[in-house]
Amino acid sequence: MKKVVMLLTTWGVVSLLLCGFRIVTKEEFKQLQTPESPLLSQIAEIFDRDLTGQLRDSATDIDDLIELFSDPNADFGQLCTQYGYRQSPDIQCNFPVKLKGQIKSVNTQSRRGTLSVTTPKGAEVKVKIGPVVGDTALRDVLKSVSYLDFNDQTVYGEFGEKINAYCLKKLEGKAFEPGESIEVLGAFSSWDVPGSPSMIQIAPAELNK
Amino acid sequence: MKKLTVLALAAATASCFAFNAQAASSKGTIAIFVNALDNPYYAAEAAGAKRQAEAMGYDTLVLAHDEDVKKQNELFDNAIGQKVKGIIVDCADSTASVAAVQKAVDAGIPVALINREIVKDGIALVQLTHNNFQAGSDVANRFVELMGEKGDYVELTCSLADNNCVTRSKAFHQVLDQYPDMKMIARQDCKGALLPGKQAMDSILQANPNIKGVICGNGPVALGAIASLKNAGRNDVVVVGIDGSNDEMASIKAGELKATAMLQAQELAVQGVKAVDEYLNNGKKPEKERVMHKGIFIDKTNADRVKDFLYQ
Repeated sequence: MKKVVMLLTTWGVVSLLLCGFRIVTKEEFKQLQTPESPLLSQIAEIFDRDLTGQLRDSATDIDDLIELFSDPNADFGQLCTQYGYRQSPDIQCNFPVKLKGQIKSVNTQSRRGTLSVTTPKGAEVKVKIGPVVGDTALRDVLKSVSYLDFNDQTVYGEFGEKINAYCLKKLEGKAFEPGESIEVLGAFSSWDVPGSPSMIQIAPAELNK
Repeated sequence: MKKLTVLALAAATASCFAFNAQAASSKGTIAIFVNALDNPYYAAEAAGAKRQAEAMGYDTLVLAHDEDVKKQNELFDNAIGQKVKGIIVDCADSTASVAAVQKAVDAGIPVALINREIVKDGIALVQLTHNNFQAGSDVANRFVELMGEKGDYVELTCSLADNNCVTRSKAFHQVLDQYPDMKMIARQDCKGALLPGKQAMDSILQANPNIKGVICGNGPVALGAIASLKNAGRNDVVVVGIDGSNDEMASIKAGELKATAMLQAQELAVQGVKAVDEYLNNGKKPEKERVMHKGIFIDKTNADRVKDFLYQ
């Protein structure tokens, strides 16, 4: 009798496995029942459709923005309203920008790797190439998804990290050399008028040579 | 004797009139409940709410629940019994406090939550919180810079029973874990207080003399770590924290604490009182129930601008 029970149990477990069932832990089961947010599994779609589309429609040429910043009477709040986006006055302003320029230098010493890029009007700005992005400009410039879709700071943080990871995935396999010309579509964040163009660090949604 | 009696009666009547006049001039009582009144952060919250409520013509009742849900429940019962006009609370727990808030709301008393949120929407009038994740990320990013992206470090958390502390710790690690040359060699919960911070640092330092940095979940813990490091003659260790008290500012100016994020304790409290007042006077609820306030990054360049959790 014992043998029969054992055989039946083994047969049951093997059948479950062969049918594609997977035994999960209690924690995994709980997470499967209540995913932290469905948006976390839609990163590619949100990035390629919403974010890139929004940036294409609203990006300001970086040289034009630098010129506006250089006005000693520049009103940051007004510039943000006109050229940037933020979910509330309490957070950094995020500016969607486009840039055509020439790579002056490549910094891969830091994990927050950057390209120093000279713009057509001679300003020098930075473009993030990772492997650490270090801010959430791409998440925060996005209009279709906001903190209110999460109501959880940690999950919203995770969403930002996944957006950055997707951005870096698009850069995989690309090597950069000084002197090369590049085109960038991306965003940067700032609390105030940047002290100099070199303080501008653009997170790229698209970076093409 | 008769004259004295008449005088006493007159005085009593006059003081009675005076009391009534005062009562008539008050718009009622706003109850303000915070975790503790001997902690600079919570004291600043209470002071900010009290000042704003009194400026708006309310009496105030300021009490501490000591992070004890049962005690908080009693405070709510008492406030409901006293028919207070509104409650401003930095609650004891994000889940267990739902029932207390619901009870007050059912009794017709609007509740504004400050600092700690509750897990349910649609009960509190407003939930004003700090962007702990952003504050944690900002501090961690500076910590990485100060550490030169490598070396052994320690994390001293504030209190892992507090959701805000958990959020800060998660934010730290979202940044720090991207740097494989930075190695966390110890992590300890210091209950958000200075002495446990010092004691934890004392023992960790003995076992790990090579540590290069300490990242702390709040200000008191950071100051505790600094006290321990000073005792050991270790002024080469990078310490950062989150909170923004006056003591932390002094430490930053002295070059001990390298960076912090100031949480806008008073501003949250003031906004909470204003929301309650607006609701009582005009029946208007805030546009959004949950509102996050940024933590202001502070280092030696701007520490002078902070006083009593206010950034000027």
